[in-house]
Amino acid sequence: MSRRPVVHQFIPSLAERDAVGFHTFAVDGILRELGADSTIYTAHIKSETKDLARHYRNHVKDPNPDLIIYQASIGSPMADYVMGRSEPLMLNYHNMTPPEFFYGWDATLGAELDHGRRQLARLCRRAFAAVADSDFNARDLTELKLKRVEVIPVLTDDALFPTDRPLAPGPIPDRSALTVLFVGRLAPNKCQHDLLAAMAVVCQRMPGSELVLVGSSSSDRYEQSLREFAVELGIADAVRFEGSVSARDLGSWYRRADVFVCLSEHEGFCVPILEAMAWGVPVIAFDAAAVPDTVAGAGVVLDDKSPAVVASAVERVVSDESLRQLLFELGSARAKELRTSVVRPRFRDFLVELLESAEIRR
Amino acid sequence: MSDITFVVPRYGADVVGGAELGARALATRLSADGMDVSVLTSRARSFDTWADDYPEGTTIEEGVSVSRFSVDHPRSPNFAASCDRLLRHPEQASMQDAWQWIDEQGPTSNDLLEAIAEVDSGVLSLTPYMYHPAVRGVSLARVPTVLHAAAHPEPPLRLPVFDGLFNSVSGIAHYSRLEQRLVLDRFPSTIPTPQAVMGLPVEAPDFEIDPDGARRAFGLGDEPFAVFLGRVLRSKGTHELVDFFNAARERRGSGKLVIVGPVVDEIPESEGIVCVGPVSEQHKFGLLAAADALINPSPLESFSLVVLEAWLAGTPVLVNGWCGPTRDHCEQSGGGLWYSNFAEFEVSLNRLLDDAGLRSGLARAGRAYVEDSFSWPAVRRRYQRLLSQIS
Amino acid sequence: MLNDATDAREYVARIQAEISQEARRRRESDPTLATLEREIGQAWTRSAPSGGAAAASSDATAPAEVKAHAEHLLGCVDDLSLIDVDAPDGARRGVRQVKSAVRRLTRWYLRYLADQVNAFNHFLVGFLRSTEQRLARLEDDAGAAERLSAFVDPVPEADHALGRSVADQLSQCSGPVAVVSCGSGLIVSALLQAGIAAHGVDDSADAISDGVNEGLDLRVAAPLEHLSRIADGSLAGVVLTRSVERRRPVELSSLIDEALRCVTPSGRIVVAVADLSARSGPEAELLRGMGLSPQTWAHLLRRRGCAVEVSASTGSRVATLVTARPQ
Repeated sequence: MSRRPVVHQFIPSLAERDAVGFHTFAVDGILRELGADSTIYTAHIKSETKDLARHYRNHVKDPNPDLIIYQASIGSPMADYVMGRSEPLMLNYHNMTPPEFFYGWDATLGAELDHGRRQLARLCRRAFAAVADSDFNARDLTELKLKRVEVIPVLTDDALFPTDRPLAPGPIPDRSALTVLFVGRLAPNKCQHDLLAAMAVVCQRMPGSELVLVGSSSSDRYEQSLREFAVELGIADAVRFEGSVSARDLGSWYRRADVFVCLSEHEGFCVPILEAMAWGVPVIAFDAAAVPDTVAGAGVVLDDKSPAVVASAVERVVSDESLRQLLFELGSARAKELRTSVVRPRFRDFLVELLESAEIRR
Repeated sequence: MSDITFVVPRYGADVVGGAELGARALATRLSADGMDVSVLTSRARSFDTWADDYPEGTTIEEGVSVSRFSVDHPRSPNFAASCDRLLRHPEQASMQDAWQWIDEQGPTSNDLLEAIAEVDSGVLSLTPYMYHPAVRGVSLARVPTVLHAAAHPEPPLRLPVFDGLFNSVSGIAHYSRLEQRLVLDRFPSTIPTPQAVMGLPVEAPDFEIDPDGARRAFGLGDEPFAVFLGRVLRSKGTHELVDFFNAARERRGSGKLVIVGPVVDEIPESEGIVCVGPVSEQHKFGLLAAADALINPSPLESFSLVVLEAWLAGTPVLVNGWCGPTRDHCEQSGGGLWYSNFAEFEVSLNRLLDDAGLRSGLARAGRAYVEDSFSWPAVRRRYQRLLSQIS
Repeated sequence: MLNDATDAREYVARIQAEISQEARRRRESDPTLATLEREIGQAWTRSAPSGGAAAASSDATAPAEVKAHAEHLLGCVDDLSLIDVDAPDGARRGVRQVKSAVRRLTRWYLRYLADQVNAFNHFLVGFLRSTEQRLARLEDDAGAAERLSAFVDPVPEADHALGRSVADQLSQCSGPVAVVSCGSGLIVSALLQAGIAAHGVDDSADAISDGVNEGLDLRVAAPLEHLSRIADGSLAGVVLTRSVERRRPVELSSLIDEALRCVTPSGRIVVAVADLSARSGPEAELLRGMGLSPQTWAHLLRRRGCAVEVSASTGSRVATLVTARPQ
């Protein structure tokens, strides 16, 4: 191209500490490196990001872009706006939770997700290319007849990973002071209630264990039910709802954890699984959605998450020396495969190809 | 030789509780109109324990002959555990367990039951449905019976032990159309039973209402305010109201909420909230009149005297839309607004505080409704019609 | 290296089977574990709202729920604007002035929601646009209903003479009697005066409110639904009137069946309807196929095994009463 390509990224809601937000900033960084004139547009600017992006109502006045990248993870009027533009459109798809998970909890959010899915169908007809975080996510797009779909994992924040990576798993954890960790928003599709159910059995055999849930709530009703459930099960003292924490505190939790357990029914990628592996924490996960893609055999994957099975898994992972060593090595290797340093060049190459392609050239 | 005998678990000027107040309101007014009215009740003042408090025996109170009987034993210590056990799935309770629950709840008084069996003239009025005297007493009655159920959509209503009571009374007096619907749905065999939607008599106080005096007494100045009146209890929705009000106040920048009534669950202090505790009748009406709106957040009311009193004091109301009876009052009268979530609460509150025309229109409509439907002559007319069908 | 990695993954995969086996073994050897798992499941259904517990597992229901919720939200907005299509002229006291005040409030509510900075803002905006359209349509419809009702009058209320005639027909009963389409309760009142216990049902809350205020036992219910909830042989009589003049024969046949079921063997069914010939030309055309003449009622009831008596009523509109006794 004879002049700097102008690329605009659209993301409905931009927050620094969330996976898609960070990813968007990282893509912005790559674009600038490639010499593009890159701007991020959003519908909801949080205070910490207000100097880093523009509200999309300004977009009509700004110079026309050569390429629009839409970060798709929820429904948004932005999608309608973007589809109304004539410039070439690329989707960066991070999956949308199926609305069924929210019926009975927060029907408005469910309706919103349903709306998002219908928008996605239209986006797939309009876009000429897409990047999906995983094979699982890519399937959503190919089913909607989008032909050119590249699978490139999401770009993660290195700051979340330990600088002083442990070289070996720690000693066998004390059975009377076990820490089970899960990181993720409190949401029905992430099934923290199944974690509580499993803990009821874990606490029987290993009293003194605790479950740490890091992540803010997507649904007040769900959070409230979780808390009541913990009380009903008699394990309220063994469960910690930490909410949203800083990067440093998150690191402390990973360091303290003896095992990371994910029982989600639906995940688009699940970056925390990766983080756990990078911190040397063994991972147990339920076989659903994109989770097995992310785990890729570097953790224990269960096809049954009934409480007794999960409790047996936890017990096995914390007591079997050789298994712990194995999970540590496999996990570290897997985390390395998905580190930004590995993924970034792939994304960069893809963008180069895109910018030089016929669709973009004037 | 009474024309009408009320059977109620507690009775007295100091007794607080919807059904008890209702019984007293009816009893005293019927007596003032010339009927021969008696009351059979326990000696208890508080319903937690039914502990004997008032003296035993018969007295004349406000023209009504009141006979109080000792309980055989205080409320059973097993009662809370029984509640836990049975009330989660009340439909599945066995009759034996359910009867035991009735006996454990109390107030259990054999003397009271004997007195019921001795009534040989007039009509027996049983209220409310849930307690021992009504449930055990109805089968001992030798005269026609009227049940003032005071039923809510609550777990005990689904226990199997009340069918006998509802099926054997000669007539039923409901507080509201919603209560009638609830009872007819729950006990379809009452569909043919003579019944009436009676409500309760609500009248303007006989003293002059003094809003300025009330403002002065509680240091409220000239600032507009909304008022809450009732026991400050989580289950009455007070805490949710305080949360909503504080949030709305923050966005609005102004506004005060005055909380009137005995505090059972503490409210955290905040700028826009003024807690004045329990007050005299004079001050109660003064505060109602001085307020721009009464807010009733309770999701579970059978009649809500306070809403009607607010209308008599010339004040519009804002109620919890999830509460059938209060919302029904608003819909029927056109005297109030209702909310089902924060957004609706905020919008309604802002309109009420900012729009004097709306306030006066609502208040006028509400007052007309109370005067039409709940004056003593109107209530008495309905009650007498019901009584004439059954006696 | 590659082989090691592959072996390692296979090993980890095998662990899963071992874990499942271990869990199974534990359940078999420890009966309290199975009970505990069941109790955990029950505890969750208690803590979660109904629908939530199901939704959070994979067996959730269709987008019909989403639509149902959207309809519910629309309903709430309808309530907020107090648009009542059944009472287009705002017959309820005070409703009209509140309606206009709250209608303005609704606009503000809509604007407020639209301005609300909220991640679900956009759904509401689109949704609210359709709400505005729907409100406009409802107001239109209310207007339309008003226009149509000018063509055909509603069935008039009973008069005192009719009330007395009906009471005469039921003089052998002491009650209870159900009056269908009781309106303001004149027939119920006449029965009460004759010492017969009676209640009435009507579709319209407005129509009965004055009667309820007087202490008459009038309830809002659809006739067929009301009768169907009454136990066999619990009534001394059923009076069918007014709305039955605007229903089709098939519905009326079901009504007869239910009424016969509800009355005791010595009970009575009284039908008080106007002659079809009393309809004006336009009415006759517009109401063709609805309602039955008294003679046809008599025929239907005889066919159902009743002894039927046709008598004159001194009412101004209803000239003939049909009284049936099951045999």
